[in-house]
Order: sequence, then structure tokens, then C-alpha cells
Amino acid sequence: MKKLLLFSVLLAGLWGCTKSFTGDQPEQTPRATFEYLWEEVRTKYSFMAYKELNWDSVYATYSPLIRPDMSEEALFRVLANMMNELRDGHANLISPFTYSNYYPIFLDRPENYDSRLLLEHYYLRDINKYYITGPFQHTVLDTLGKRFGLISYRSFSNGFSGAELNFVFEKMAGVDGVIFDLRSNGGGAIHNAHTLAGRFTAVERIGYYSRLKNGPGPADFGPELAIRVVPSTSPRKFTGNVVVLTNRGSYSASSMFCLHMRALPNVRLIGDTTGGGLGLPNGGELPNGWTYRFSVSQSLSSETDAGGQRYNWESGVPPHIQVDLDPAQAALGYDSMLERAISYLETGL
Amino acid sequence: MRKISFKSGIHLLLTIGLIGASLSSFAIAPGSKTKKQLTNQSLQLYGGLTFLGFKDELQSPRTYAGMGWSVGAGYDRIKTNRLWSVETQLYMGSANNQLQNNFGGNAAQVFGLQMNIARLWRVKAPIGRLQWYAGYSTQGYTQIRVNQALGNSSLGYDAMVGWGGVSRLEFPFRLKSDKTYRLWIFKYTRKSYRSLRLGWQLELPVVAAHVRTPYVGVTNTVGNEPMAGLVQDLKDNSRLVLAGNYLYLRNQLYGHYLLKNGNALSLQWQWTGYAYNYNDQATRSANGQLLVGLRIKLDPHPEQRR
Repeated sequence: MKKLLLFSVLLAGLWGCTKSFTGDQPEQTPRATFEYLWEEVRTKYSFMAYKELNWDSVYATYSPLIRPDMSEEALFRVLANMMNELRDGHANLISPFTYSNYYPIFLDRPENYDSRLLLEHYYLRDINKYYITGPFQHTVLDTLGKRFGLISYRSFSNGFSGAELNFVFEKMAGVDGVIFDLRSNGGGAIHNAHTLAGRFTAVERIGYYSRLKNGPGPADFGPELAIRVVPSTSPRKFTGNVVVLTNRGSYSASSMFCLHMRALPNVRLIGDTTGGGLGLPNGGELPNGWTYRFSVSQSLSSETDAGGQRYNWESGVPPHIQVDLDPAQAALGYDSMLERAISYLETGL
Repeated sequence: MRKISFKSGIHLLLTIGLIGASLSSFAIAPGSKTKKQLTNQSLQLYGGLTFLGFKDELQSPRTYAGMGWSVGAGYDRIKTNRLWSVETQLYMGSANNQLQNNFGGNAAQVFGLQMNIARLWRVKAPIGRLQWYAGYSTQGYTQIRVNQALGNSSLGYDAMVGWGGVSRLEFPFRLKSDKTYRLWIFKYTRKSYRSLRLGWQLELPVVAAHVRTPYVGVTNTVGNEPMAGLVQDLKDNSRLVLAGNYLYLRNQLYGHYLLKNGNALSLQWQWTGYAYNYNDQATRSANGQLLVGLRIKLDPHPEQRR
């Protein structure tokens, strides 16, 4: 009995060791939560220098708003507004009751997308050619004796199988060009972008370079990792002329897909500048249990400027041809952006 | 100046006092078999509960705690003047941030693998029956944590391969355990003893190679060659670190009950602590395992080796 007692006491003590070893919980006050988030952003956000942000002045603005007796909702608003100073759609604060986002990225520009217009006047032009295969809407448009494939993909979060992709690209066989509509695709899983881009090339190319923040200084980055467009091993791909339609709602993985596509000589981007979001968002937890994320990497284009510098298109990947949706044309049943894409594929201009 | 709270003080005392005690080992054999020793070669198989705790400052300032289960295996070879052992444990469990609200708290799934290989030689002990072994050990430690609430940073990991010195002090002794039998007016006392062995093993880390989650808490696997990205990350985040910049403690407390066939049932408490500082953002983890097991003799002729 004594031995059992001794053993129990030792067990309890050893469990105490475990608790002592891993340390106490942090303070959960509004001040502690604010300071923690501010410091995390200061040391890890990857576009501090690119966006010329003065994070100390942001501290000076928001620190006086933190009060010990403020409600959780009031604290959330202050922290969310501070995060929005980053002007980054990947900067989000997540509490159990709501989450924050930076909306001006796409609200500052016309939407340039009308899904009903597209459905009514293009996809349903010939219902017998219209398919919804997995997350893809697709058809083949007959225009003045030429045939153009039209594919819409609304979210990179929506996965697809090889069989689904094979079916889509089987329908594109022999067409004179493909229009890949990426408008208002807010991003999702980046591996879907790699897979999809591989269906538009026969040659491996570097799509972009990715580098991760690796230290607290604004210029502390690890080595650049070349992200390649690898041709699909499936024979069902399309390596002819391709147009990718974009708007400001084409964000995150959509923008990375556009970087890939810009690296292919057979592809042109038409529409509005994408929303950007080329930084990989991390995730972390605050002292009070809320979570957050913000960009911690940079994606640099494979294209270079006259000085040999790679472009950082965090604020948006530019199109080769800028065009907006014309409301007057839309009222007549024409998607002016799509029509411009058809015109390019017909004339090469 | 920061005051040490009562709670912290208790934990500190427990840490100092019980690290030594926890490094002890007991071996209890029935008195009638005091001369029978454990086989010179043995295989141990065990399983049981594990108590987890960790704090990964790259991802959160909060301490996570929880429970799970573990399994393990070991091999011992003991000769007159030297001792060789290999032990490995696999554990998994769930830990949460200890912060419950109406919406629930964040939780992580934890997977761990530990391996220790030690080789010790008997050296002359300074005191009487004290047996002193000294040698070296290789320590392997890996912990993988998956916390879905952290999105792209859901994966956190620490891995270490270390080398260091090992010192073990053992003190065998017997406790009187007489049994008295009565038959009417006759009284007979059978003299009996229980053999015990107290031991204290200290592993002193010297140098170790560490790798852990990248500084920003996310792995650069954004390419369509994720293995290349992962290999690059492992390369970029590997460090060779000298003692003082990391801590690895592994303690064992166990009791054996010898069976007639020479095998033994065991009850064991094992505690491992790991701490490593990376770019001023530390990780600390500890796990305690309560294990029941079977020690199987492998030596076919143990008596010939006495």
C-alpha cells in the first residue's frame, strides 16, 4: 500500500513537471492580444517594404484605442481595422463570432462579370453543347465559321478529378482557341492551379518564383523556389491559342494561375488586373484564442523588366489587353470582355 | 522584478525535486527469487496512456494540453560490465488550447516518435554497493502537430537527432518482507526479502541536429513539386546546436513483477521534455506516459551467464 502511495505521489509530481516544463498560459487581456498581433505582423508580414507601410505609426494610431474593459466585439473591430491597414485580402482576423476581410480590393473597381449574361447568351446559346463537368462550365461557341472553347471555373477550392479534366479537354479538341474565364474566382487550393496550367502547355516552364519570409527584418527572405508549369501527361490538353479572362475578383490562387499562364507563349490575359494576393497566408493563434492569417511569402514573376528585375504583382497581375464589361453592350446581350477575347483569337490582335 | 507565484514555486520544486526522482528506476522481485536475476537479453513491449503538453511560439503563445495513447518496444542487453539498450515509443493524442468558450476551443492532433540508443560501461563506484555506469546515447525525437484552426499553418513539427553522455547510478538493496503463519498455538515466521533496485539515469545533451517548422509557420510547398519544397524547407531550417541552446530530458520510473518463466510484467512511467529556441520563438513539449507491458526474456541459458 505504501509503495502504491509512493508511486501515485511520484506520478502526480511528474505530471506537475510536464505542466511546469511547457509553461503558463499567456495573459488574455485586450492589451496583450493587441501587442502580440502587432508584433507578429511587424516581424512576419512579407509586403511591409513593398507596400511602404509604417507599422510604428499604425501602432501609434491603434494602441490608444485599446482599453482594459473593452468588449470582445470592440476589440475585434480595432484589431480588424489594424489588419486592414495591410490592404491585403489575405489578412484576416477570425473570432468565434465573425471574421474580417479587406474588401476594397475588388469593390474599388467595376465587377466586370455578369454570370447571368454569360449563361443566357453564351452557354445556353446551344444547350446541347453545354456541360457542367465537376466545377467547370464549358461549351464550344461557333462564331463566323470558327469554333472557340469556353470554360468557366469559379473557385480553386473546388477540386476536380483527372477524368473530369479529360472530359473537358476532350471537348476542346480541334477548336480554334480556348477562352478560360477566371473572373470572380477568389482562389483556393494552389495545387489545382498547377494541375490546370499543365493542360495548356507541351513544354515545362518556370511560372513564377516563391520566397518565404525567414526572419524579423523586412528584407529577410529565404531562397527563391522556382515554381514550374509541368505539362500534363494526359494527351487531352490544349496547346493552341488561349485567352484567360480576369477581373479584380480573380484573387490568390487565381492570380498565381495567371502568373503561370503569362509564362506560356500561347496565352494572353484579357480583362482587368487581377486582385493580386500572391503571398501565401500563414495562420496563427492570439493569446485570447482567436486566429489570424496574413501573407508571409512573395511570388515573383518569371518575366523581368528592362533592368532584369522580376515583377512583384502582389497588387494584381496585369492583363495583356485591358478591357471592362460595357453595361450598354451587356444590355444587348453581349459580354464585351468575352467578345474582345473572341476578337483576339480570330485576328491575333 | 517578477515575483514567483505559489503555483510556480510548487512547479519549480516539483521540477527540481522530481527530475532526480523521476530518473530513478525500481526493480521489485519476489523474495523467494532473490537470487534469480532478469535475463541478460530482453525484449519489452508496452502500451498505455500518454499525457501531452506543448507550446509552439511560432504559431501560438498558448499552451496546449491533452491526452492520448502510446505504444513502445525496447531491447536490453546486460553483461557484467556493460549495458546496451534500444527503446522506441510512438504516441498520438489530442491537445487543446485550454480555452473553452461557447464556440469551443482550438485543438491539435499530436503524433510523436522517440528513440533512444544507449551504451554504458560500469566504472568503479565511489561508495560500497553503488553501481555506476557511464556511456553515451543517441536520441531521436519527432513530434508532429496538426491544428486545423491555423489554416495553412496547420502543420507544426520538431525533429531532433542528438548525442550526449549518459550516467546511471544503481543501488541494489533488499527489504525484509517476513511472512508469519499460525497453526493453533504454533507460530512460524518465514524469512523473506524483496529485492529492489534504485537507479538514477541522467542524459546530458552535447550536440544535436534540429529541424522545425519554418519561421513563418508555413511550409513553402506552393509548387507542384511539394517534396522539393519540403526538402528545401528542411534544409533551410536545420541547425546543429550545442547543449545549452536546447534541452532534452528523458526519465523513467518502472517496477517489474517477475513471472515464474523468467518474463516480467511491468508498470512504467516515462517522462520526456524537449525545448528548443529558434529565432527567439521557442518550442517546448513534454509528454508523460503511463505504460503497462511485458518484458520477455530472450536469453535461452541465462544461468550460464551469471
